[in-house]
Amino acid sequence: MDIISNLPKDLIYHIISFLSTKQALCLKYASKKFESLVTIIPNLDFESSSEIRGCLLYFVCGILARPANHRLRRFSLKLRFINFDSSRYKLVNECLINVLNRGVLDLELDINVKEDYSLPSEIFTCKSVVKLKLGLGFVIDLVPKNALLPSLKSLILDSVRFVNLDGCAFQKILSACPVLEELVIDRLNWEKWNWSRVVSSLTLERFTARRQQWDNVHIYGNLSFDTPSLEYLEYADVTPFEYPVVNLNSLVEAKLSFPVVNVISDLTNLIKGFKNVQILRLDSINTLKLFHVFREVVPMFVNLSNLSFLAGPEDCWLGLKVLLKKSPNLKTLIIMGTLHYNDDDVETVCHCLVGYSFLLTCHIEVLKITEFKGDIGEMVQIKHVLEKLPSLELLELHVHPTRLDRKQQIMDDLLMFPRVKVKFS
Amino acid sequence: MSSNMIMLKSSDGASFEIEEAAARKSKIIANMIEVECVDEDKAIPLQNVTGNILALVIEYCNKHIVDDDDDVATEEASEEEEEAKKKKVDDWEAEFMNSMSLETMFELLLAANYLNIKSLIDLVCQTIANNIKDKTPEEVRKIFSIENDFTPEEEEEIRKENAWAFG
Repeated sequence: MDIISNLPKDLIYHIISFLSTKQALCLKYASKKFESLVTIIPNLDFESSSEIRGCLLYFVCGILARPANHRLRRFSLKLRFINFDSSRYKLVNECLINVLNRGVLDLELDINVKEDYSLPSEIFTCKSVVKLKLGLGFVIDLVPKNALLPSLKSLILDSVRFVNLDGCAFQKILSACPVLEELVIDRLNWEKWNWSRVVSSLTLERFTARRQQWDNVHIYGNLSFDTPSLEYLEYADVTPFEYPVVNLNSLVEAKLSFPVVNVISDLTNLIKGFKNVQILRLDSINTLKLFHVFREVVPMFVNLSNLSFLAGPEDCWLGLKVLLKKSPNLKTLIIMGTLHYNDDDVETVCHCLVGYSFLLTCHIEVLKITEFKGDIGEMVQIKHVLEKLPSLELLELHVHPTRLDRKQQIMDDLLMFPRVKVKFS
Repeated sequence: MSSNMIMLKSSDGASFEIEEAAARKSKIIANMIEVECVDEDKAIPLQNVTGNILALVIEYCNKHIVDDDDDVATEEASEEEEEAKKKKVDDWEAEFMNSMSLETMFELLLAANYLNIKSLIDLVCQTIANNIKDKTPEEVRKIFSIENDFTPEEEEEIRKENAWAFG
């Protein structure tokens, strides 16, 4: 008989109660005896879009009644339209503490919370949780001194606000996550936060910060990124005054969107910080323009091989000109939209393009246009582009759905460039 | 604080003298003291605990009774002092548990359970649980000498069903 099986069942259950669900799973499958001793609940889910009084109470009681050897893999509580008021805070927190004690790995709280609700402090000292999702409207003020989330790899925040009562609560949480790999901030609202304005993590690899509400957002403070391991950045925001510290030395891929640019914003450090990027996507017209505005400080993008930018026919390419000059190893260029042309004056090439001379030194092999219409003005420009790009091998055209009838015509027109393979999709 | 001493006797006949306050960490002994069935001249016989394990239990109780006294004495201690003290206890506990084999740990757990010392039960269970941390089922079997009674087919099935955990 092995030593652990000699123990009374109660003590084995007590040991199991200290295991995360993943660890408990390994004990469960050590032998058939343990298989029957450990219960793994894959998922507990409560979703309520309408008020059914007592329903939540019934659910919570069901959880509390389970013995300690029941470990929980995933827990999700969604109280979207329910009137979540102070009469329920105790019940919900009791439930959360119980779930945290069950070694939960994946925890999702989607509750329309009010300002006076506080999460139980145990949530910041949970040893087991790997993925934590919080929304909507949580306000985090006090993070306990002993905060530590040693297993947390993925933190997803939706409309969460950090309020500085005792040091920067946001930074305290990041510091309490020694293995954090992914941070997502949806419905970004950090102009309403009270914080240090620094995103700092040694381990963070993927960071997404997406603003949805653009109206009435005034310029706010500074912003710093001290994330030396970051490989992926998705960042859609209004621009702050400046970026005092930018450490993005491991960055591989960046998706940027700055639809609202403050004229007094200084993006020097941010733009310089992208110097190692390999894949760059500029998701709004203004984002491309910024590279022209800050052309003096744009670094050499020696690793940049894939560039996408959003543009319509009327948008000038000044920013692109700067980027192409600084990207000697660019192989793929994707225009999310179409070429720069004027339907009233189809033969003219806009002065911003200076006859496309800047394309002559590019080594672009693949050009992709995602909304090609085949207008006369467009055909004039595409011919210029094909003539100028010396290394182009493939032109990939996504013909606009309303112009599919022109596909054959476009193909015939492009036959004069046999060097370039044209692909339609 | 009472400085009364009481005697404990292990199953293999070893006698230990312990302060009453320390012995009260055990709910069983505390109850015996409450109902006054402790004779000052006679040792309390503990049938299920051997001498070497009882020595460990007493070491633990002595350490923690001193800490409890400190709690009372320095009620207004600053947060930093509190933290430093907690760290000291944590360090001592880590060292204490580190010094024993897994077999001893299980015997200590049974003794703590028999004597009903809640904090010691928690400490030992947590330490045993820590041994399972980041281990595969094979490694868990090895640590606790558990015999694998699954067939290869059953194991394959388990691996498939739990790919999320076993990778």
